[in-house]
Formats: sequence, C-alpha cells, structure tokens
Amino acid sequence: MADMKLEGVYKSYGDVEVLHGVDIDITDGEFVVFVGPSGCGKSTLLRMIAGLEDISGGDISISGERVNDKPPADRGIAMVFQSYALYPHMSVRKNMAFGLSIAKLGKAEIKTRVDAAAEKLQLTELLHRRPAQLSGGQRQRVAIGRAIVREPQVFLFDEPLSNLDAALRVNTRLEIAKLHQDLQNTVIYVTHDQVEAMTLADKIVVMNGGNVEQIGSPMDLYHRPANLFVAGFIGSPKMNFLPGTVVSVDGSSIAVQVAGSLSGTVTFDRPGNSCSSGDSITLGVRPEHLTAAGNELSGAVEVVERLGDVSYIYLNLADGERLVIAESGTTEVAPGEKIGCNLDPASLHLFDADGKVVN
Amino acid sequence: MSSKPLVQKSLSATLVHGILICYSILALWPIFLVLINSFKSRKGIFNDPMALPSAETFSTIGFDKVLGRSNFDVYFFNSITVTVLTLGITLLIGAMAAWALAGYKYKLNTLLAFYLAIGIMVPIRLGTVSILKLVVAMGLMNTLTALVLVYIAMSLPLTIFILSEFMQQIPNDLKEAARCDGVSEYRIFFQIILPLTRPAIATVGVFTMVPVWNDLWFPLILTADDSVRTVTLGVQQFVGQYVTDWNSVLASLTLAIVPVFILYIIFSRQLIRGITAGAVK
Ligand SMILES: Nc1ncnc2c1ncn2[C@@H]1O[C@H](COP(=O)(O)OP(=O)(O)OP(=O)(O)O)[C@@H](O)[C@H]1O
Ligand SMILES: [Mg+2]
Repeated sequence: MADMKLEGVYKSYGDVEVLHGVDIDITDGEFVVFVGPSGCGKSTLLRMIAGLEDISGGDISISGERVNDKPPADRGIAMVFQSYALYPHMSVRKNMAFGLSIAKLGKAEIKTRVDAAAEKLQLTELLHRRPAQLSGGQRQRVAIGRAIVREPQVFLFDEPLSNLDAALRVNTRLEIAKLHQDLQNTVIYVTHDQVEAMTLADKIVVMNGGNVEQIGSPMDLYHRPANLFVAGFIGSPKMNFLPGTVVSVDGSSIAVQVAGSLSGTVTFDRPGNSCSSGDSITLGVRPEHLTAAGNELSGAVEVVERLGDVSYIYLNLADGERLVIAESGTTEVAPGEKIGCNLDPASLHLFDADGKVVN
Repeated sequence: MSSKPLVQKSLSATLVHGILICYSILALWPIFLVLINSFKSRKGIFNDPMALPSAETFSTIGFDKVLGRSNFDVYFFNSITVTVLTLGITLLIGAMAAWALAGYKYKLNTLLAFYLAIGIMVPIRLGTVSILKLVVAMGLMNTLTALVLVYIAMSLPLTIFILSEFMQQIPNDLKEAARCDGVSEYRIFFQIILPLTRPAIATVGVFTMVPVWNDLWFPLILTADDSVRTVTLGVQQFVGQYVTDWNSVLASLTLAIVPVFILYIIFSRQLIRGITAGAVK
C-alpha cells in the first residue's frame, strides 16, 4: 500500500520560509494534483517528497514509514521532470534501463520491463535513438517510460506537459490519465494549469504562497470553495466578485445589500453564523450561473467573445464593477448595449472580510 | 536567411578563408622548415635552408646520430611517461574538483573556487627555488615523479577553472533524475558528467599536454641526470656554445613532434565525436 502522509512540512532557504506547514493525506492509488500560482512552492514540496530537497521541519511518510532521511532511490518513487532530464548520451533503451541496471536487476528482467513500457508508450521503434533525435512529445514519453520501468509506488510529475504544444498537451494528458487507470499507482502531479488539475485529479491540493488553501475533489473545489483564493483560482473564466454589506442576520438567513444592485437586498437561506449586520462581505458568482436577463444588476456591454458553444459577455456595471456572463450558444448581445441580469442566491458564494466562505 | 547578395557572401567567405589560410601557413612554416631540413645534409641546410631535400642534399645523418649515438630512446620514453601521467592525473583530479565546485552547493564553495583560481594568475616558475628545495627535501631529485608532481600542480588550476565552467552548463535535473534512479554520486560523475563534458576534457587535454611536453625549465633544474632527461633537455646536448649540430637538433625535434601529434589526434577525435553526438540539449 502506498499511502502517503505529510505532517506539518516546513521548508526554509536560509531565513526565507517558503512552505509554512503543509498537511496532506494521500491514499493508495490516488491521483493528486498540486496546483497554484507560480512560486507558491509546488515544486519545492514535490522535490521534498522525492528526497531531492532537505525537509526543514515536519514528517513525510510513505506506506507508514518515515522517509525524511531516506535517499530518493529508497523511497519507492519515480519522478518525471519538466525538462525531461533524459541522459543525452544514452539511447532511449539505455535511458530506461539505466536505473534498473543500477538496481542490479537481471538482463532478461530489464529487457522485459523496457520492452513492455516501450510497447505501452509506442516507443518500440525509437529504442535505439538518442534523446536529441526525438521530438518533444517523444522525449516526454521516454521520461515517463523511465519512470514506469522502475515500478514505483508513487509517480511524481513536475509540470510534465508545459513544454508541449497545445494539441500534444491534450493528447499526453489523456495518455497520463489512461496510464493511471492501467497501473493504479499513486500519482502526485504538479501543474499551474487548472484544466489539467480538474481533468486528471481525484484530489486537488490548492496552494498559495507556501500554504495549502484547500484540499478536495475537483467538483468539491468548484462547487464549494473554502475561500476567496480557491474560488478565484478554480474555474475559467474566473468567478465574479461583487462587494456587498450584510444588512441583517437572523440565524437562518442573511440579507445582503449588493453594491450597484437596483433591487435592494438579496436574501440567503443559510445561518451565516460568523457575520453580523454591517459587515462587509464579498459575493461570488460564476459566469456560467448568470444569464443576460433581468434587472437586478445592469450595465453596458464592453466586449463579447463568441466561441460557438458558449459566449462571454463582459459587462461594466453602473458603479464601476465588472461582470462576466457566460451564455450557452451564440448570443445576440452587441457591445454598447445596456443589459441586466439577476442573481440566484442558490448559486452564489459568500465570503467574509478575511476571505473565508460564509455558510 | 540573410538578405546579403550571394556575391557579397562568397566574397566575405573567401576573405575569411584567405585569412585563415595565411595564418595556417604562418603557423606551420617553422614546423615545415624543421621537417625538410632534418632530411638534409649539413651543407644542404646552410646553402639553402628553404629548399626541399634533393638527391644531392638528402641525408638522414641527423636521425642516425640521434638514434644511434645518444640515449634518445630513453629521453623519449621519459617525456612520454611524464606527459601521459601528468595528463591522466590532471584530467581525473581536475574533472573531479571541477564537478565538486560546479555540482554541489556548500559553504566554502566560492572560497575554494577562488583559492584554486589563484594558481592561474601566479606563474609556477616564480616558485622554482622553493620547488627545488621541496624536491630535494623529499628526495625526489632526478626522478620523473618530481616532474609529474610539478606539472600536475602547474596544470590543475586552469583545468579546474575551464571544466567547472562547462559542468555548470549541465542541467541540474539530470543529476537529480540520476539520484532518483538510485545512481551513486560517483557513478553520476563517471557515467553522466564525464561523458557529457568529453569535448571540454579533450580541449583541456590538449592545452595541458603541449606545455608539459615542451617544457625545458623544470627538467633542466630537477632532472639533469642522463637517465631521466626528457626530449627537450636531451636535444640541448646538440646545441653547443660554439657549434650546434643542426642535423641532430632538427632530427630530434622532428621525432619529438610524433607523439604529441598522435595524442593530439586522439583528443581531437574525442572532441569531434562529443560535438556530433548532440550532447547536452
Ligand atoms: N534554491 C532556492 N533558494 C531560495 N529560494 C528558493 C529556492 N528554490 C525555490 N525558492 C523559492 O521558493 C518558492 C517556491 O518555489 P517553487 O519552485 O516550489 O515554486 P513553484 O510553485 O513550483 O512555481 P512554478 O509554478 O513557477 O514552478 C519561490 O518563491 C522560490 O523563489
Ligand atoms: Mg515549479
């Protein structure tokens, strides 16, 4: 069983602390994606799991065994690097076999494993080539192959697709998903692309500035973001945020005055324990939960983007706030037009002044 | 694609080639003179130094004298021993030190690099007297070991400097991928870093080899005994204060070119092979 547990993991470089106590539980066979903006510490955390970076504090255990002081090769992990990091002077076969021959596996066993991995990744024809004679996508597959042959308990990927072009990225993403279904290994995958995160993950870990903001399934994060950061980070286009003020709280419902709203207050059927009237509050609403009809909010259309299956309407509200509305199909709305929309309390998210969700 | 007209391009190419050819002739001319004159009689050399050997002037007297009457084979063997040992040890230790500086981060890293670089700036000959004292004290006078040690000390700083520059170019991920593969630090060095820096090592090899082979200074001081003389020192016996035996001098110089030439060819092969392998990408 390849369970993994991270408990209070800290990392500092000199005086600078870049990870501030990370706790993550990973069960066997899970596909976990670390996602977050650039510089938030995803790679650092992954490299600490791999054993390439010292752990400044806390514990990492794999299959119940503390691995803080174990070298990478003894942790049962295999890592795929963003730069592929293939050995340039070795053939594809040698690249895949190198680690196995170091581990003193028999020649026949090595050949079987390499051939099987090559077959799975369609590399059989390329086994005699050097990395320099391969395309980017092929190099990526070799890098994955080199990880597979080691039969690790845990696969680690650091932005494996970011050097590929858009079409190839989609393909390789599917291949990685298939591979995971085949092998049923635990996978930890780092990306800053939320589409990759949403499509691949069983569990997403959203990170920001060295902290874990929220851990959950993709749909959890989408429907029930725990804070403003996660709400804004997951989903494209971004969730709309509107400032508002709490008017009254009575234990079972909250009434909120939305800035720029024409029709007074919006009432939510939730206790809203943590807030009291007069608090400022942020409303969040996803573009796909708005329709260009109604009059609660109104403004002038700035830009319209039509993608065929969906259209995005960028609205300038009366008080200067901006709003994006996603309409399915092709919209008739034209720039300059004045339109309005209604807010549906059921699909609205509320966040208090600290950015925490209000239930 | 450049927008230069074709004519202009081929003109500038001609110019560049012209300059290179002129320079090559200039550089090769003395060697050519040594070669042709080593096959001439003494009279032939003095009558017309520029002429090719003709039926009249052709003579191998120089070679006969050098090979027959002196201990040239011993000198030759000494020179080769000293050069090959120096080269081997310098490249091995130098590459290891360079990798230690380039591949690992530790506190004294910069200080150590600076300390090693000082050797490039201070000519080793300034320390001749101390070196002599040291060699005498160690009882290494008139041994090849003394020469090898001095030459290694002389060649190491530049070797380390150049190789660590090259090794810094090797992406970090490669080393880390190898660590994930369970490759030991020594194997990383020998099986990944060394193969990838082969062109640089070949270049450094050539730079190290030539001054060692040609050196006259240290053999003159440290290995004056006939049995441990090197070629460059051995040749000096034909150069007299009043009479110089040009036949022998030129013949021994010609012979002395051969081993360096062979070593050079070996290294330049490595150099070209390394470059065409499309090494670091
Ligand atoms: N060797 C180092 N010394 C000092 N600071 C470092 C070092 N490596 C990383 N950092 C810092 O640690 C933080 C996290 O870096 P990390 O590489 O983990 O980011 P990331 O989330 O992977 O970003 P990206 O998406 O751009 O790859 C950054 O602020 C970075 O500046
Ligand atoms: Mg990163």
